[in-house]
Amino acid sequence: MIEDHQTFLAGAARALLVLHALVALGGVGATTHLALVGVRLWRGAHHLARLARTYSQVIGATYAGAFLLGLSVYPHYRYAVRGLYLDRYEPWASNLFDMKENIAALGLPLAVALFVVGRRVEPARDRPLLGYLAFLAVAVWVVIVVTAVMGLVVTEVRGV
Amino acid sequence: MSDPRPDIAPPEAQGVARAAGLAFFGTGYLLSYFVSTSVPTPLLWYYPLERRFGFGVRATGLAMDFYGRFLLAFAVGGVALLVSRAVLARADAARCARALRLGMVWSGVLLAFTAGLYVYLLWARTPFAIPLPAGYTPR
Amino acid sequence: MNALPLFALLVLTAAGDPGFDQIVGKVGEQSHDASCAQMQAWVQAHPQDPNAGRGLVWMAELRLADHQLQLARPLLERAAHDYAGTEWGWHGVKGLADLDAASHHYDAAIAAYRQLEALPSPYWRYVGKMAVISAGEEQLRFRIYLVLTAALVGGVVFRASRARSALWPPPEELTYALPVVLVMLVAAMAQPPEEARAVVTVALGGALLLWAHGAQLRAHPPSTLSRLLLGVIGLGEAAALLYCAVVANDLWMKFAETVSNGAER
Repeated sequence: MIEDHQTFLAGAARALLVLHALVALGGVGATTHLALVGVRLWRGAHHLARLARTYSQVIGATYAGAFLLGLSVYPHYRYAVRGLYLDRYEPWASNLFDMKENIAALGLPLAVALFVVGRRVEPARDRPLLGYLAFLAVAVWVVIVVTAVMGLVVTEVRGV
Repeated sequence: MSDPRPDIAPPEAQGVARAAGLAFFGTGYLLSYFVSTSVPTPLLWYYPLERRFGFGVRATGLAMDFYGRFLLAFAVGGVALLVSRAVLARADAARCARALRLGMVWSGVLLAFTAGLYVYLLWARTPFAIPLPAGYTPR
Repeated sequence: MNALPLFALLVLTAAGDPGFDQIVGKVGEQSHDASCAQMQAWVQAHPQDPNAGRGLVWMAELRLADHQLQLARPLLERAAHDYAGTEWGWHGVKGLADLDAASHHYDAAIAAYRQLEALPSPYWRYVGKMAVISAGEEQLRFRIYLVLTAALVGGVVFRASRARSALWPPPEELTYALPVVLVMLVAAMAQPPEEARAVVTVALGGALLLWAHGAQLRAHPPSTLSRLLLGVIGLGEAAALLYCAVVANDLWMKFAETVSNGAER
């Protein structure tokens, strides 16, 4: 048997992973809503501004939360999941996970911008920002959906 | 009533300037991420089994550069944000809007380009498996 | 050209002439210039020795390893001429044909390879046959490269001449692509020389194409259908640029391998 608790937070890995998945799935829902709302807002549906503000804040919290949870479970994953199993028996899943983690990191600055710009957006005052908000909403939605699917596929092979 | 001070952008431009700063934060972050991936770059590495950090272009043994690359990108993005805010501090609304459009396109293009780089690098990678501890049996 | 198999052949099968063996054995201990000078003197003194032709080819391989093609050619010519009909004479013929192919004189190269293909030796028949096929493919790629390069340059000049007033300031398309051009130039610094040249070609060539396209669109705004057509042409030009960069820097085999097997990391 391999030793447990060799890596940081190894004992809490399963709980952290489940939490990471739940928060990320919440993000998928919020970004899907905001992608639709953001585009409609940009095209003139200004009555949706309150929804846009709400979803922007939810996305900011869920993206950052999922990211931090992912960072905390990563040492355990790197050894016990990727190191001992995926690299040897399922290298395609190891590669897929690395793509996922890096794409998620690439989306982070856009999620931060989405949170800051979207949480106080007022169409009457911020008309020049609506196009940017729509872009951020769609881009972050693509990133979250792609990484969520990748994460689910890898977890199905080996989670913790 | 608009602020008459010459060193402050007009109110209608301030929100756009702030957004442009965030767009350039993204640009700097993504630029750094791409460059640190494609060019050997000294980074902070974490050794999960030894529970310690190290610094260098390459690591020996089981190590992760993810934290280091992320921190570097965040720092470079922060610098880009500060520089853009300084540059746009006195800009008018039209200039801020153009800067926002530029930052938005740059961050979008770099996001796609850098994501493409990772897909290309990792698509057919053969990972180097670490030695298994004695008695390990895959579940 | 890979000189290592020939070096191994020379080391392992050299006839028992102490002068020749000593010179070959010391190649790692002194400069190639010194080794070649010693071998040159030995060949001059022993022109009838069975290793004399081998010595000429050996020197040529050293020069090729140092990318001194102009010094390798006379040695190969001497081997092919002075030792015609012998094993090392044929190595000289092959070496000259390889140099011709490398400098894009494919007809001469293919003629020489056909000569080898017609020999009775199974080894030379095989080498000649494969070399004919390879040189033929290379020749076709080179011709396509010439046509595409002319088309690309012609396209840029045509667009620039039709849109002179719109060339400055640079169009937004170019401004938007600047970070990509920048990261490609930076990434090129970490690549081997031929790959770096290809990356720089694509980055700067792409920027030039964007500039010309953008200026043309600004000077003569097209209809929706024309815009679509111009977009398709633009994609074609991008593919052509990539092709030219790969072929011009002798990266075709590496490119094909990467496409089928993925990147090395």
